[in-house]
Amino acid sequence: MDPDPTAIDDYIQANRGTYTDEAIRDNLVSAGHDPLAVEAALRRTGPGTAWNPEPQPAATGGLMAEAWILFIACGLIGLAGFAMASSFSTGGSFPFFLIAYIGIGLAIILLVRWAVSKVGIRGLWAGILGVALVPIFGALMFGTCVAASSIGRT
Amino acid sequence: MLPVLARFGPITIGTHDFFTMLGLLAGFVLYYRALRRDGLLGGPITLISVAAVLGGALGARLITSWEVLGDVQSAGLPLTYVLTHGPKSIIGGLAGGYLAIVLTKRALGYTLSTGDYYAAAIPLALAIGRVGCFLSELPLGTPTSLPWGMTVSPEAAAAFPRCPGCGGPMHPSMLYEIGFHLGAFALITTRGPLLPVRGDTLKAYLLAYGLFRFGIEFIRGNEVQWLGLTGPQLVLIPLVAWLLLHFIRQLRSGVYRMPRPQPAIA
Repeated sequence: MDPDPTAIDDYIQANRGTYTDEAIRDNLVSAGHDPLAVEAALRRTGPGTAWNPEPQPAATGGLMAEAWILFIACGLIGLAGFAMASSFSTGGSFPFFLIAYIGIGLAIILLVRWAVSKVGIRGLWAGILGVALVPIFGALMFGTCVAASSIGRT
Repeated sequence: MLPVLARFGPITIGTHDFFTMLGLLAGFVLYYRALRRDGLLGGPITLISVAAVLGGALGARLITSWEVLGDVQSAGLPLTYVLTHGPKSIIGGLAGGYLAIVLTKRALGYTLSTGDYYAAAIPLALAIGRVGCFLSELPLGTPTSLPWGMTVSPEAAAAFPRCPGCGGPMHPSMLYEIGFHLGAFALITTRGPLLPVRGDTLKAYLLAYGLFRFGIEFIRGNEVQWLGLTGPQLVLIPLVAWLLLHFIRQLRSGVYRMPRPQPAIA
């Protein structure tokens, strides 16, 4: 018997963001709740907490922080690549790499910041931007490597 | 060895590529079914899935690319050759896909952990994909005198520029890995989420795979890069450390002690 079905709903809503449906179901049933009522409540409440169509302002800061982390991480990977490349010690290529990487990278970071804050990019477009960040920085890293190494060879 | 599965006129179907695609397809079918079951299909999850594929593809090519950069450059090839013909690593694929998912979810403001929806799909995809590796890549592993050691013909070995153990029986290391993934797949599909916290079943699988793969690398036959460790082992150290740190934090936070619901009134 479940005279107060809102108790089940409240428990599900409070824990669904952290715990699996299976764990919630097991806990409720082991506390004596009707398995059918628990199942119905899980279906009724749905995965509503999953999608927030209006991201909080903090999400913008998070996106920028991740952009910076990617920028630095890709730069370090690029430097490691140069350290292993044979033309690294012949001179010329490393300063070019550094200048190109920092210059182009900062330009992209500023562009992202402008798009996020001024244009009010959010929701779907922010998602597309998030999708694009990884290949953009990957291409940036290897593009500058190729450019720098070709200058080093000539 | 079966590097080419079939030829249809000018079209050649490589064994490795075929099983990679088959594994991806099987994984996506499982992932899709799990999402549909929980009513999560929609625009945001589609974007997140696309990001996972892009990030995975890029990560697979990038994470061990440093191993061949010197060779590529000394051969006079452009560094973009690494992206188009360089080594691929499933460790990089997993790491790149994971990073892309995290970034996209943050950008979308998508707060629900979806890791567990991949928890059965990834081991199945990897088990199928490794069949392609087993049929088309050498060396199979380091030399062994164990009764299940496998040999390859000299003609097959000659097709590979580097195959140190091909003169005798080798560990079938890909088969060991297939066994691990199939075991994980069976465990997750029969038991459901292994941990009560959303996303932690996937992380537990990734941690177990990371540790398993680190060990299997000792008999894989990959080139030693530094301190007696292969490239994948060096890459795995920070990834496994991050996952260990995650579980230590989870344990210390007490999140696995789930709040008790109010008892039902009879």
